[in-house]
This record gives sequence, structure tokens and C-alpha cells, in this order.
Amino acid sequence: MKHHNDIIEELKQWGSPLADMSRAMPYYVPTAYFETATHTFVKGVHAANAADPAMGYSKYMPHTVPFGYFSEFPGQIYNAAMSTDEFPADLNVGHPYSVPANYFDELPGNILAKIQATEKQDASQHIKTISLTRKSAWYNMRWAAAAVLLISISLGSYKMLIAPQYNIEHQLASVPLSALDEYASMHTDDADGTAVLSNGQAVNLQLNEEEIIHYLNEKGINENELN
Amino acid sequence: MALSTATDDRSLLLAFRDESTREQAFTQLVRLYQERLYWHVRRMVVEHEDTNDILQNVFIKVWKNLAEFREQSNLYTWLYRIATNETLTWIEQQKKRSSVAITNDESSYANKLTDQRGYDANKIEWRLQQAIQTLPEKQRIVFNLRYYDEMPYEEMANILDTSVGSLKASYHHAAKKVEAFIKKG
Repeated sequence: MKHHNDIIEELKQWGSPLADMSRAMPYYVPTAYFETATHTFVKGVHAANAADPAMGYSKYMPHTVPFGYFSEFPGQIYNAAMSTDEFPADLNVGHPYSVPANYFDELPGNILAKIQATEKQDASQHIKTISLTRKSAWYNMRWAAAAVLLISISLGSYKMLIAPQYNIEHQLASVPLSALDEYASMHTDDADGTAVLSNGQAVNLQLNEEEIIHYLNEKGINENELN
Repeated sequence: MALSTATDDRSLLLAFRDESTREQAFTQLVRLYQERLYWHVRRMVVEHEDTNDILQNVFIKVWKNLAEFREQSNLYTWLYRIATNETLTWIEQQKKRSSVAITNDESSYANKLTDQRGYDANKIEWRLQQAIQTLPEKQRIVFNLRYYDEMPYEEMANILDTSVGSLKASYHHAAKKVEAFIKKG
């Protein structure tokens, strides 16, 4: 009854409609099946027994054992062995070795003394203990050194190949010709212009002869005067 | 105490171990447990004839091994365990023997259900059986043991070799699936 209530309570806690549902089995069972089933099943077991004779034999041990038999058994064997003529009465069942007197009492102190003596000897010889697993500082810094080198090369390459060249020639090259002309006309006079031309700097300006003559004519300068 | 009236498990076991009363004890045991075990198996395999065959195998196994039963659990827990294992073994054998590939075992048992004498899809008892047949085998066993046999989780754990927590979760899921199936109509 308790189990029944537990199950119903459990289903109600879950809010399950199964708690109130009928649990009748709807399956059809042949008439008087359970009345005859027992006989049928027992008969079936006998038939299985006949097919396998060993099946009928029980593995259960029918023998009884006196109380405490197994716990007392080793002692009984020992006593029986000792009572026979094969074993001398004065048989020493212990080991044959002898141990110096007070050996085990003095053993801890002896070991401690030896350890202390060994430690003193090590200290006096300045034995340097080299750790097999210790690595030098350089070993640990190798990765940092490699990173620094890589960064240096990268920066240098960047400066050389990619960074714009901020020199005067580069800046002047980017100035348009019209601006240069205007500047020259504002800040130079004809004499400077002559000086420029006489120095042959026109060649550096990459002007052809026709352009020079045209310029001179505009300025009213006779080309023959220059020679 | 006459054996014919002996119903406690301990008496039955002692009587079974005695050669002179073995058969009488066994008959008494079968009479006591056959109906419970019958319904446990039938709820799994649906067909009466299949249930009868499985139950015969169960009792043969009981006869073989009852003498060695160590009483670490209840006798009926031990019997349920044999019945469950025999049922699952039989189902596996049927799957292998079937000449038609059954991709959905649950649907094959659902089909067997509709062929049952007196089947009525409008009755809630049949709807419940249909819903249960949609559950996976192990979950079906858990649901049946709890819902129909009203078995405590601790005893189910002994039968199925599963933890109590897993069984509670499995039963809860099974109950939800069954409800959903019934509501779906």
C-alpha cells in the first residue's frame, strides 16, 4: 500500500494525468490460463531435465562442517606435525642467524650519525651540486633574443622598402611646374635669369634650345650677347 | 508448517534445497509468482504465446539456479531479474531472426498491439499500452516496473543494475513521453 501511495504521489508531484488513469491490463488471457500454467511450467522443467540430465542435479552441498573448523584447521595441522617422530622436539622454527646485542636499539642513532658525517664531508669539499634539469640563462633567453632580432630586421626592412623618403629632392619633385614658375618670376629678376643661363644650368632644367631662344626673346635678351 | 501453505521465501528456499520436497517447493513458487512475471513479460512482448514461451524459459532457469541463490536480494527481485533478461534476450533473438528489416522495433510491437483480441483505440487502457510501446526497451521496462508493478527504485536498481538516480530520470522521461502520446490523441 505504501508503494502504491508513493507512486501516485510521485505522479501527482509531476502534475501527470497518469496518477488518475486506470492501470487495468486490457490484454486478453485464455480462460483458466493461470490455473493450468503452474502444471505446464513444471512439466516443461521436467522435459528440460530429461533433455539435460545434469540440470536435475543440485549443486548445493548437503554436507555439514563442524563449527569453527576452518579457523582452527591451521593449528591442528601444526600440532599434528609436531607430534610425529619426523620432527625433532627441539626443532628451532626460527631463523639460524645471530644478531649482535642491542643492535636494533642502537641502529637509529648509528644511521643518524653516518648521515651527519656525510653532510659535513660534502660541505667541506664544496661539492657543487649540478642540477641535471637546470638550464643556463642563455638557454632560457634564446627565444627572446630571436624575437628581438626578427623585430629589428623587420623594422629595418620596412624603413628601407616601404617608408616614404622624406628628402628635399623628393619633396621638390612633387611640386608642380606652374608653382615653380610663379616662384621664379616673383623672386628672380632678369639678371638672375641670365646668371642661371650662363652657368649652363638650363641644361640641368632639361630645356631644349628652341625653348631657350623663345624665353630669351620674351625677355628681350639677344642670344648673341650670351656667347 | 505444511509446505502447501508456506508462502515466505525462506521456507520455500529451504524446502527446495531438500531433495524430498524440491518439486513441491518449486510448484509452490511457480504458483506464487507466475502471474506477476507473466504480466511483466507480456507488457514487453504483447503476444500471449510469446509470453508463455519466455515464461517457460524463465522457470527452467529458476529451477537450475535456485539452489545457489545467495539471498542477497529478495527472491522476487531475483525472479524479476531473470524474467527481464530472458525477455530482452528473446527480443534480440527475434530481431535477428526476422527476415524483414525492422528499422523501428517500437512500431512492430505497436502493430502487434492493434492485432490483439478486444483492441479498442478509443479506450484509455489501449492508448496507454500504445504509448508504452513507443518507448525504447529499457525505458519501457523501467516504466512498467514502476507504474504497474509499483516497485521501489532500490529494487529496480538491483534488477536492472542501474543507479537509483538514473532510474528516476528514466521513469520521469518515460512518463512525460507517455503523456505526450496520449494528449496527441
